[in-house]
Amino acid sequence: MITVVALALLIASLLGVSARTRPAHASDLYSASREVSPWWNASAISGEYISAAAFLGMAGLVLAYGADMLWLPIGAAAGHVVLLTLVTAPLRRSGAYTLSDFAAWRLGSRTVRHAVSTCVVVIGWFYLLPQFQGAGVTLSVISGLPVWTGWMAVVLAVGAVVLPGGMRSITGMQAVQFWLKLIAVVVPGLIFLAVWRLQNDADAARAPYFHRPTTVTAGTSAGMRITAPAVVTVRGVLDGRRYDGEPVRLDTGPHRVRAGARLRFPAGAAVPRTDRLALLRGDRWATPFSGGRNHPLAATYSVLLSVLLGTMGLPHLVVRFYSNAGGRSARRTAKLVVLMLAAFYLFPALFGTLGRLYTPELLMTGETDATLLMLPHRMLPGLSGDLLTILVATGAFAAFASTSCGVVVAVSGSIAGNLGGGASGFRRSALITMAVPLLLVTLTCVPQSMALITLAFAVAASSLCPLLVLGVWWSRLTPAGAVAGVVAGGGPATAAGLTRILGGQRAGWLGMLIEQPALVTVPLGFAAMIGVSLLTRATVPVHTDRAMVRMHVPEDHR
Amino acid sequence: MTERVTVTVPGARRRGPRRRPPDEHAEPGAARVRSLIRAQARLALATLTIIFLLLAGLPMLFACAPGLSHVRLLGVRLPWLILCGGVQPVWVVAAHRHVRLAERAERAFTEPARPE
Repeated sequence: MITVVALALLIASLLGVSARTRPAHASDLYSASREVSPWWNASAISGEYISAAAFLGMAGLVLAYGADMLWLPIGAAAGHVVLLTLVTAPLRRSGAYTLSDFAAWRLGSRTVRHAVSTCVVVIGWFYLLPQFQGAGVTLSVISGLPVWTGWMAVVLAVGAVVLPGGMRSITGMQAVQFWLKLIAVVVPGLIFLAVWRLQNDADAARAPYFHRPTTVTAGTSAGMRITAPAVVTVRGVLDGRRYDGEPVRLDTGPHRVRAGARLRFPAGAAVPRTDRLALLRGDRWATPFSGGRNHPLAATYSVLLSVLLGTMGLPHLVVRFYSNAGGRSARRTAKLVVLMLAAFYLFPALFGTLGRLYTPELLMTGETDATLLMLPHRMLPGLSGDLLTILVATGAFAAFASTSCGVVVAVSGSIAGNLGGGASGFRRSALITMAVPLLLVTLTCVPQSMALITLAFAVAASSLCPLLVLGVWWSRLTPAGAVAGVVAGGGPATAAGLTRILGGQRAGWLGMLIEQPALVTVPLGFAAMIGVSLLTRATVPVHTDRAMVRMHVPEDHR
Repeated sequence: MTERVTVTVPGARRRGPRRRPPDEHAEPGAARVRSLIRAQARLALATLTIIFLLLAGLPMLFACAPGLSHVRLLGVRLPWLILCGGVQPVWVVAAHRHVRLAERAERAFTEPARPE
């Protein structure tokens, strides 16, 4: 397995390095960037958008929670339609590069700039955290290395690319990585589908069971509940006794395994329930809103709202439209992004469903992010499985690397603009940008990368979305209103996110809102921004009319 | 370093009176610009309405009619069929339509009506 990982890392890094060693002067990049065609730029945007959470995490969520998670890909693609209708063309025409630049230009105020930059940094941290998390789980599941090696791999990759190269971010590399990631899901997807049809037509909605003899290694000491008696081969400590490969009959009821114990379940045995994940069986997995989650309908609306409106506030996406020639081609680019993401999102549900059949032990260990990486070997033992694993792992590392680099560059570009200090200021900000999520990842108790990434969306939707929408369409926005809205919406969303990361789980409505705050914080952000703007009418910036013309009138006609 | 264009607006920091004289840079005519912005806003609202109706309606539908979740079509449960394959094409079509209409509105703005 180590060789597989090494090969995947090698391929991913070779792709990155070959694209990056081309000398690019700032002016060269600037003039070249204006010639990027919509199709190419859309590939780059999709490449940067499809992160570890989308590539691996979505399949894992479907594996664990089933139908309730099918809303996420829909909301994610719809978020890009919202971005297209409300923001892309006007933002491109404003001529601003980052969101902070846009805010400073539109409202002519340094305070607004600082507030927006703070938001951008928080969103970047929440977005990087799941990338680290996903890389750690991936590497540990497929190679047995400790989780922190995955974190270090991402830190080193990003550091190597970002620190010497400054703000360079090359469209070509991101575009190639999108196609790599798409191939890395489409090819295995079609092969798996064929194998599944040929091997058996088992229904994934059955209670999860081991499809073939499977060895489960307990990462931590944990309790588990056996639902049907099974004879298991045990190596390690189970229920306080040490075994060395003897068969043990496990009766129905609770049992305890110590960390490092290896249990080999026979084919057909039911997957035990564990403390880590509530196992959904049968219908409750396959039908929406029946998984026994906390206020499922309201939680679904809340998460949909955050991905729908949060997409426009992702700092690393917005800067990419700057590479388009103008508002019109920015709009066409956004349209193609919707198409590309729609194609990509056909697959996670398939992988999650297959994971239920072929990798059910992930439900025991809670490491559901590894579903896609485990599937090739389970479905096709032998060389073809190896090759598919290399393909999938390459796609996964491309996902960690490209999203992390994009976020680090965009975020540190934003704060460097505030701190000043040129290249060394940029390097300092890049280090800060990476250090905080690295600290958080050691503290977090949320195992799924996708659950973490929705926090970033919630903050973006409650703070930067009101600012962008009102900034583009409402000429009565004032600097005071903008700051009030960003604080009133972004503050509570950030607080909820931190509570969730550090383990504040609660029951009832409060618990639901801590997990998915957007339902409350988005209206709060909009209300504060509009209300305070109306109260401070006298401070509408003088150049507002000119700014509106610049954003909405086609370039060739100004 | 990417070269950044700083857009400076003379007088941005000055607090001006709320009603200002017509802006001499707003060449295309303030009234026409306003009507362009309004037309684009209407288009955006129309596209957003489609999205919000679907995203608000589908969860409500499955929550209110749980029986639908057990209907199978081509061997696949209805929610899975709709959510995995049925909605994304709507987004693609909505995006395509929006771009076409937004560009048409811009053309109507840049090519003034010819005198009859």
